[in-house]
Amino acid sequence: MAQPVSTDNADSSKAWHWLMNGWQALREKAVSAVTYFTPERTQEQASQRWGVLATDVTEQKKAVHVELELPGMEKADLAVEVHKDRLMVSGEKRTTDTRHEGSLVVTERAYGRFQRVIPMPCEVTSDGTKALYKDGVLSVTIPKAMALQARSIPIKQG
Amino acid sequence: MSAIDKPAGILDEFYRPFGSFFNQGFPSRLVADEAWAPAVDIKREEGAYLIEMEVPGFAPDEINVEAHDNVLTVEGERESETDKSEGDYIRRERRYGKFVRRFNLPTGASSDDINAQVKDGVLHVRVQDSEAETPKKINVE
Repeated sequence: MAQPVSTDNADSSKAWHWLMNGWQALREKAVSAVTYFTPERTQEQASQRWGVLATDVTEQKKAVHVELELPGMEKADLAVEVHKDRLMVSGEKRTTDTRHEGSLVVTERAYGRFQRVIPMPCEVTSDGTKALYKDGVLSVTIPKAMALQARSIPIKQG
Repeated sequence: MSAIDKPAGILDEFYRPFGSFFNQGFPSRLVADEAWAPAVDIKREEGAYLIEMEVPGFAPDEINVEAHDNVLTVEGERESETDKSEGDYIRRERRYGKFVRRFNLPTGASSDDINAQVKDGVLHVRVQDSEAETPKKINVE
């Protein structure tokens, strides 16, 4: 990492660290959302190659819940894979038929094949995983591995 | 080569975001900080322009489309879903709050003939443009 120009100046050093900490935090938070799209069709060539695939992950008592923003897709073009320590979402975002060369004025959206790997905060299991695609958002609920699920034991009255 | 590389007056006019400081060569959606600007594709069809904006997770009543003084404004606002979802956030990349995007309409566009619908997280706005495909004929006397 580059060093600040004048380390003897306490103020600029402070400012530098503030900036680097902020940048680090931003990177950790958002950089993995930036996803590469591989265009496969000729009409996709003009589109953006990098898209933002924003994802929220929440940890619940017995499951991990993931929401990915994937606007304008077909359910059939999406694939969800659950591994012990990660969730893998891949697919192909296709352009619509009306898109043809010369008719495009602005292209900011990304099209093509993509894949995103989302690390899980704990061990999870594919058994009982549920996935739903609605309004351009893919929601996946993945149960935690049984050993990790906090279980409360009912106490019977003797 | 994409159409966006070709300079064309009416297209630039259509796309130029309303307001000057967004127009310094940066895409407005990268510059805007407080409000964000979702990605759009704009296509030209027979006598109309079609804007497609990515608005995943938005309900139709959370989006407002308005045309006024030749400026088309698309606004959206949504609340964070913290109340709905139990559990702790491990990762939070989705944006909540408000977004605004403005487009200058081409001169032939009709503010009265605009329709909008949301499907699978994509907002489709169709703007009729009477001048788009009907060149004016000038008689030489």
